[in-house]
Amino acid sequence: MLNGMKVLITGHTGRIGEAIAERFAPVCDMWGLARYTREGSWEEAIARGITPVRGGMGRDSFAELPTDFDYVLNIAAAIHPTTTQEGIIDNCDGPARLMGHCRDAKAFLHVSTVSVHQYSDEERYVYSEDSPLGAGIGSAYGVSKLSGEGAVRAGAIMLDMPTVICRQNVQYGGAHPDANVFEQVIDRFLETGEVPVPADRKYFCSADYLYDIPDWVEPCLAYAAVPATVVNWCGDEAIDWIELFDHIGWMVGKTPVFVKTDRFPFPNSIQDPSRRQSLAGPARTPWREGFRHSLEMRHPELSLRR
Amino acid sequence: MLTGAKVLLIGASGQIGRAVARRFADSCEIWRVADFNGPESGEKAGFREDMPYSIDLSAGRLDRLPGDFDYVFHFAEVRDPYSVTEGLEGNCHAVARVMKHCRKAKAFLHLSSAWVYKPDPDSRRAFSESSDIGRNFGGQYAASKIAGEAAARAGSLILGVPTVICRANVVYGPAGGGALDQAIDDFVATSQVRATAGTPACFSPLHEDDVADLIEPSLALAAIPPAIVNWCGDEIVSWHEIFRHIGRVIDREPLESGPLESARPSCAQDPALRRSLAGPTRTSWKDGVAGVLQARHAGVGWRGVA
Repeated sequence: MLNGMKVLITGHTGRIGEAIAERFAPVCDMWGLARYTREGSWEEAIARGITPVRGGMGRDSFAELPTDFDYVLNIAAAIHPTTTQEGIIDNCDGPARLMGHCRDAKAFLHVSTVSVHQYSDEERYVYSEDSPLGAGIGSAYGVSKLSGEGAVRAGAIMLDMPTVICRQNVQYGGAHPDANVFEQVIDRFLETGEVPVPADRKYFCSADYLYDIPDWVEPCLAYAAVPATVVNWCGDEAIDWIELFDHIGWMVGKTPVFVKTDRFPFPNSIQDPSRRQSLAGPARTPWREGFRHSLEMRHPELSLRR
Repeated sequence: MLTGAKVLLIGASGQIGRAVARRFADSCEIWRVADFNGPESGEKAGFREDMPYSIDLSAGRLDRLPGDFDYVFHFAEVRDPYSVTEGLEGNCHAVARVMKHCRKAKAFLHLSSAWVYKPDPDSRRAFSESSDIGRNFGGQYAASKIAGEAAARAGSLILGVPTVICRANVVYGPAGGGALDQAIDDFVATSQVRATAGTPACFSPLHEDDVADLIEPSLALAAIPPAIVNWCGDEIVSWHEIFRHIGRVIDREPLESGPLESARPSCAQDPALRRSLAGPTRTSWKDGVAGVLQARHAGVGWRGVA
């Protein structure tokens, strides 16, 4: 589907974008739109075969960006906006401006987040694509991403552009220089033996392995429609945090010390993978295998028990 | 500004729509649209024969309307969406469809809600236009209105239509229909007042006559990306204060009762921007509720001003 096509990718300097760019840059005419503030990231893009164009999505000019893309993969997001007003400029106005610029594209893929939902107090609540939307986790990020979904929904209708919204869970894996919060917790466990756990609940999520995500891009683009469709991007298994760290501890030979905290960084987020499974098949990597790969990549000095 | 203009008014059967149509009917060419298939049909208000167009926006039947409107007022909304899909259709996709149809308009006025603001523990906190948004209220109402604001932003950016987003507080007046009007009518009939438990819920009620005064100043603010303005009164008052006052006026003791979940949560707004554009509101809440009692409950014995 993407072979030989002219494809715009945003956010390819981040983790998910990089994994997707790595898969598809060799087979298509890929252009990147990013700020390229991380040193070396501009050169990395060129080395990967991506034509880089410098710019932020919310406010900057797109004068240097062609308009004749076949597909747009919008993965960029401002993940720590200080206010909702700031977040809306990057995460809502940005996608709208991008759609307006690339209005002849065959399809637009927009990466969103499970945190656009109204948060449920049930530990094992399973978020489907049709679960209630809301202020979610209370973060400016979640609200600005809800606005972003509203913007691409509007863009799909106004431009008659087939659009798919992909709601991402927590991803893990890979050797990307930006460790995400999940991996920071693992690194801290390796150093100190301590693992934070929420004081008031058991934590579950449907974390997805970074290198499974590119498998889902083409099936989701094929599912794009007007009005926009929605697909959960998550792993196939609900992961129990305690079980995860017992297993990581077993692999590295260290017993985790669970420390209760009121400031646990993740809301519970089990997602229903069935729509994605029906489009793209099962996720390739079970979590036990995925976290093994992740440890091997990030900590080659360790010898892991099998 | 509006004299002689061709204006599309969507949501013509509601309280705000009727107040605005009354004000401008003689000075400009107003095309009024309402969805008479919806549950809150204007038919019961006796408006159908007076309505030139009855259109179900969710079905996108806008092709019956011309596309050369100078100004568009989008007041229509789904107040109590029973599902995610209904909320997004009525409060997000519909906005996109109307903007697409009226892309040549000089300005688009989008009615949003004060209940998009993120709740604050201080019930008298007055939200300004730059305050954080994000709350769960009215099932999918608040979430879908947030997505609706995003749609208006996207429309403005993609189609190049100057837009203003107006976040309305409790609107009330002789025409009736709003949450405060309903509660006044219920109080007169039953002496019961629906009240929130705990901290007093505070509002910035806005009289329907004052709404009509805000149309032209708000349109003058329209921009790309959109401007935002609070549509609220100048006074912050608690629900209890309003009904104790009405009780004194009509010589009744209010019985505060449930169901509690039906009372609106606190939401006061900062009127500074609105005042700078349009001056002070003309109607104090005490005068406003006196007018409501005279207009709708002339039979009830009342003492004039307490």
